[in-house]
Amino acid sequence: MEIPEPKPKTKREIRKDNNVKIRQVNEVLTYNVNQKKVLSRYHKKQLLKKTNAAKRVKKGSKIPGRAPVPKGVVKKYDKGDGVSTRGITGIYQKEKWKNKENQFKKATEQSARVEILLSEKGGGIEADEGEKTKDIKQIDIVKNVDVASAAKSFELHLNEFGPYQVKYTRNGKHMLLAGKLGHMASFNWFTKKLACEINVMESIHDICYLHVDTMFACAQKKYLHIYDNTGTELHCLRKISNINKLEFLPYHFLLAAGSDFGKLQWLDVSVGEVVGSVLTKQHGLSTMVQNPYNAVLCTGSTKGDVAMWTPNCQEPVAKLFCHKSPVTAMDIDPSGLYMATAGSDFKVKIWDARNLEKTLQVYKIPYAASNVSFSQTGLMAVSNRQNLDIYRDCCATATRDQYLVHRFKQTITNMKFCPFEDVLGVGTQKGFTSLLIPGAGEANFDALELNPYQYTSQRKEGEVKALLEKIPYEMISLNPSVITEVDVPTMKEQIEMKQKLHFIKPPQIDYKPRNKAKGKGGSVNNARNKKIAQEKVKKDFYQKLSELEEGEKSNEETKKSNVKANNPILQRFL
Amino acid sequence: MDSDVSKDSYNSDSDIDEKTHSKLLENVLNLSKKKLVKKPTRTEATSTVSEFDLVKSSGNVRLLELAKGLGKSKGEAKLAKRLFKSTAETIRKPAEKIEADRSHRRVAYKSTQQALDKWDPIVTSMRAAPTLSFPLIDQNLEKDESKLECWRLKSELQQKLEEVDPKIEEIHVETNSFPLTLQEMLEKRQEAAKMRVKMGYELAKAKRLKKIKSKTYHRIQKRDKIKQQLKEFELLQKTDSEAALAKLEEIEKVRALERVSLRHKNTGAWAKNKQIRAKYNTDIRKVLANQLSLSKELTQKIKPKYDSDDEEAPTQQTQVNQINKDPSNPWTNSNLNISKEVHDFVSGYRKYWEEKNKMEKGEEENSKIKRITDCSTPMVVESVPENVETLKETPSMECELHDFVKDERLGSGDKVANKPSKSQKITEWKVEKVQVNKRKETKKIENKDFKVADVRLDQKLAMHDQKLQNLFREKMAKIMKSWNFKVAESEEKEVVRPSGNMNLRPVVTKPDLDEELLETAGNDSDDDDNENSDPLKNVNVLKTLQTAEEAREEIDPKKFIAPPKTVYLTADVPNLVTFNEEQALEENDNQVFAEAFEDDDVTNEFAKEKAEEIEKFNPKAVDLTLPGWGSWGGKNLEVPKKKRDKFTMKVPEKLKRRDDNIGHLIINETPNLKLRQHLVTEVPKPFKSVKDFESSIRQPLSNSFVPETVFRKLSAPKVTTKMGTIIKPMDEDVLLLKEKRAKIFERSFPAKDTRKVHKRRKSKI
Repeated sequence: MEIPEPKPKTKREIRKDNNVKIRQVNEVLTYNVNQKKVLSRYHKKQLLKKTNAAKRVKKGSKIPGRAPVPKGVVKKYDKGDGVSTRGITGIYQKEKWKNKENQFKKATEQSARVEILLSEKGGGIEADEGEKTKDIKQIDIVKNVDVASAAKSFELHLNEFGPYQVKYTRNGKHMLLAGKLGHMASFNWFTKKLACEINVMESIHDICYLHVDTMFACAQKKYLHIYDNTGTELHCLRKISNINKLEFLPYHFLLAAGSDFGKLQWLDVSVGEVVGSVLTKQHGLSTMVQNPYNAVLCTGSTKGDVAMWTPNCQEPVAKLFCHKSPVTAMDIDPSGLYMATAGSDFKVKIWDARNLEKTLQVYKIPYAASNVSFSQTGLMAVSNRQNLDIYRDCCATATRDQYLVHRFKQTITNMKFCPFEDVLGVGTQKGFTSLLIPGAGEANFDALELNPYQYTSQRKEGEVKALLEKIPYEMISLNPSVITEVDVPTMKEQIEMKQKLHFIKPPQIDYKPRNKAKGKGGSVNNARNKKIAQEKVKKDFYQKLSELEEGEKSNEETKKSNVKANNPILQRFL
Repeated sequence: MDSDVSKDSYNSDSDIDEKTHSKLLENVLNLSKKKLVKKPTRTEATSTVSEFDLVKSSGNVRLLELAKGLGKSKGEAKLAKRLFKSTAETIRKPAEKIEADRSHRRVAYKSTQQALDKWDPIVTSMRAAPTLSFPLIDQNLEKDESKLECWRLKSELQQKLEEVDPKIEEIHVETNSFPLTLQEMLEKRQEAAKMRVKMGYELAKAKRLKKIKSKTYHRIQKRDKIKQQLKEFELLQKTDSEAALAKLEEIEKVRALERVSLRHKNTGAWAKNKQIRAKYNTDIRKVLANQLSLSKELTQKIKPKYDSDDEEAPTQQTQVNQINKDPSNPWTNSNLNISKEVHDFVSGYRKYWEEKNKMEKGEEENSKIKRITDCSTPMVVESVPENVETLKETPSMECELHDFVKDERLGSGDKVANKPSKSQKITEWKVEKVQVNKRKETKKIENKDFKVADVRLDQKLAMHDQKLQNLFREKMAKIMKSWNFKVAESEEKEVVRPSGNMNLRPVVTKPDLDEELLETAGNDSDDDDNENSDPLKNVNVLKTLQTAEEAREEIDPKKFIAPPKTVYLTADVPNLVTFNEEQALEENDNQVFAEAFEDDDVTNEFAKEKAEEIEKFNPKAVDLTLPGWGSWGGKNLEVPKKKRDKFTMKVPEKLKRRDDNIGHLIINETPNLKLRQHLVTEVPKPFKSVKDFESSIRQPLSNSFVPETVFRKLSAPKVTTKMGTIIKPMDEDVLLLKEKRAKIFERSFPAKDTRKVHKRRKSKI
């Protein structure tokens, strides 16, 4: 693979008195490694020390105490009302929960307090009056940013095996490139260090990184294959065939695959089992995205609706009628707030992705969008053929104009914003282009969650941690917070069953004595035997009943002990 | 002693011959043969008695010695016996062994309890503490700062500062450890002793009184007590209304008990016996009657007295008025004033008529019968029943009156007609109104039929009357207006309220944790607080709610929420880019495709799908009819509708769905059975309700969700021990640091609960 040098700058000078002002070059592109502040544990600790010291200042002294935290910020971290002591029995438990609630409160406040440390601000371009940001060309931007940032804008000319598809890792460090005709490469796109480059000698339909950058899945002509970062084929999954689309759900360790026949399959990559498969009745599944908020898969259909799927239900959990024409493209923004759908009716609609009740915006664009993509900061890229338009502030409020515009010479096949970078990777018919889009990436990152500057040991540690925190696939549902609720219907049933036990009566038995020879039986004996038989039945019944009642308690105990005895530690991942 | 002193001073002053001096002394001593050494008196409270104070006293006469002299005659022996009778009580005989043991145990238990009680606070605090670290920190060491000081390095600045500003040593002023003087102590003791004696008296008295068997005595006592209580109640009523209420409740309770019991109801055996004799004996009849009256007295309800102003007219109507009265309602407000005006007016009117009556009485006593018709008017003013009576005398008038009353009913509105008699009886101003209307009516009658009789009336009076009438009519109209309105309003309330209570309560849904975008179309105004504030307003609110409900009821699967206005974005697709033919074709196709879909009925299709989905989840009515059961059945015979209706199990018509009224959305409501495995199915131990438990698990605890410090505190072990140290059991020194512990203890066991704790301990012991 050749990496061409950046093109020599055009002769055309930008006029000094160009009305467009690119404000503070450093701010335009937020990425400056040295300036980055990672909120490490050490920093947090230091900060806490300081704040605690401030707290110790007594009342009435001239030195003011801790600065108040703005309420809005606190609300962001607030998880709802606490437990009232009235709802708890036992004095010690009450005391314990009071203490715990205090800690929770402190946690919320502290989280809000340390937000000050997220000092990095996202960049952007601002236009002067009478000018528009969309007039700025990519070249102008590259010219005006620092060298490191300028290096992020590059182009790969790959004429032979196109059209190309592109995917980034979740931390934005690595990139996967796959041509339709079998060319596939994984590399660190910033250093341009190649991890592997192979040709699978089959058509490639989609690619996807797994939980780490060392493994990726590739939907080939027939089956799903998994490769490692050296290009070695690790698995060939014959169970999953004719795949059109791939998505990886990182918290559930699920690789979701949508097949050409409209079959959705979820593969648990931690154990290698297909945990769910659903027939969508949508042939030629062309659009499939995941909702990062609740890990539900969304597929667009030719009838203009978007169906949402979980591995737990054969029917869609929700169906949204979006367009009166086929849905051509869709995406959900990384925070899970907004969903954008594009139809062949030349419309792009923005939906509230959580309660689905409302269309937030409707845009009529001059073409039927074939690709829609959201960046972390809410920029929306819409493309069709050679046209690429990027919109800013288009979800909550209606935008009037493009933020940036780019025209290609080849048809765009696929595009993705790179996480934590102001970069849009665009796969085209004949290569790949990396565009600089100021203000596209999230400026502050949580290194404990996703770290773009991760090194090997951190990656390994993170893998283990992620495995320990793996969420069972059963928990995927439209409302992710359902897990914090009590299953009330079952609870009611159980209580009723328990209560019913008290009202069961012993069975009546019909005792018929054998006919005995004269003088041997006698009515007195018969009556006595009858009584004995009845008593026996009664006694057995009550014994069984008491066993049942006690059984619930003892069962739980045995269950617990069994769990300890039989299940090895990793059993819970099954 | 004084003499000794004088002697000393004498010696010191001058040298006198010792012999003479001693002689003098002897002489002096001989002068009075009393001893100079006085009886010892104590000046200080000491337990030891000085040996030097022991002086033989011979002056006292002992009773015993005196009595020895008494002879053995009858009288003297008696006297002796009386004298020797000891006033001291005999010592009680020692308690039996079981009893003695029991008391021993009791005392031992109490003392042990006290000894253990002191540990309560610290035990509680340690049990409640989130973390404990052993060995417990030596508090004394921590307190002694001087010890710590020697380990602390001082900076140069600190040292210099100390030089400049030497530390001032605190001077401890010793406070008196005995707060009371001896005198005060003694006084206190005396007072305490007095109190004890008094208590003893009281106890003895109570015992004695309790032992009295006389029933009459107790009866009288009881009656006195009740009277006393009543008195107190009346007194309290003036001073402390709350206490009075409590007292009233107490009295009421006694009354209730009396009412419940069969006492004084002449139902007992005694009464029955008496009743037999009562036939012949009037006295016994009286006794029985007395009993009944007593019960009446005891079960009489006590009414708090009204003030003089209120006493006049605390009729039911005013109460009703007060209930209906609403500060924001102008009608009800003005109503009261008007009624007062009318009242004044009517009383003036009455006066006038009385005067007139007198005049007429003087003038025409002869033509009384004829005038009855005329005079009906003043009587009407007096009171209605009287009026009716008077009219009864003239049957011809009776029907007229009836008619008039009917008219009146019609005039005043249908609602009033439903209970006219009641209103006449209850309401004052209403009565007035009716009366006056009658008056008006009668006036008309007068004008029509009795013109001849009217001729006699003074012209002036007539004029005056007319004026008054006009005035009154106006005012009445006003009242009627208000009154009608009020009726209408109450009607509305009656109609609307129940529905409001039954259905229209806004459903309280569980709030989503992070729902910011929700902009609900329906206006779920939850005005629980305002509900009772203003009836008029209430009606409005209810109405709007009702309409909202109506809207909800009509669930239209095709109903779409109007999307926001489409924004047309003009992306100028450049012409520079050359299309190849294939692409152009594709483009064309796309357009064609879009156009083709324009007319296609995808919307209807979706609506149909949704309807099916809803149908699938709606419970269906179950038809349990058995054809041929109780009637003929066969191939062409249909089961009658009545029967089918009777045997179909009905289900609530529509279940509420999340996607109701959202045409573009179908939400699958099948429960996620796989998820249920992971859900908690019972509320675990310390929590009382589902809500409490749910809120307890709302907060994630791992360090990726909460700050590190809090995470450490939340995940800290309950007990930590320091390696290589001996963990000794607590000693009593720990008890000294108590402020904090006491606080927790008090919070955990508030004063009333202390008994519980003891009880628990008792069971443990």
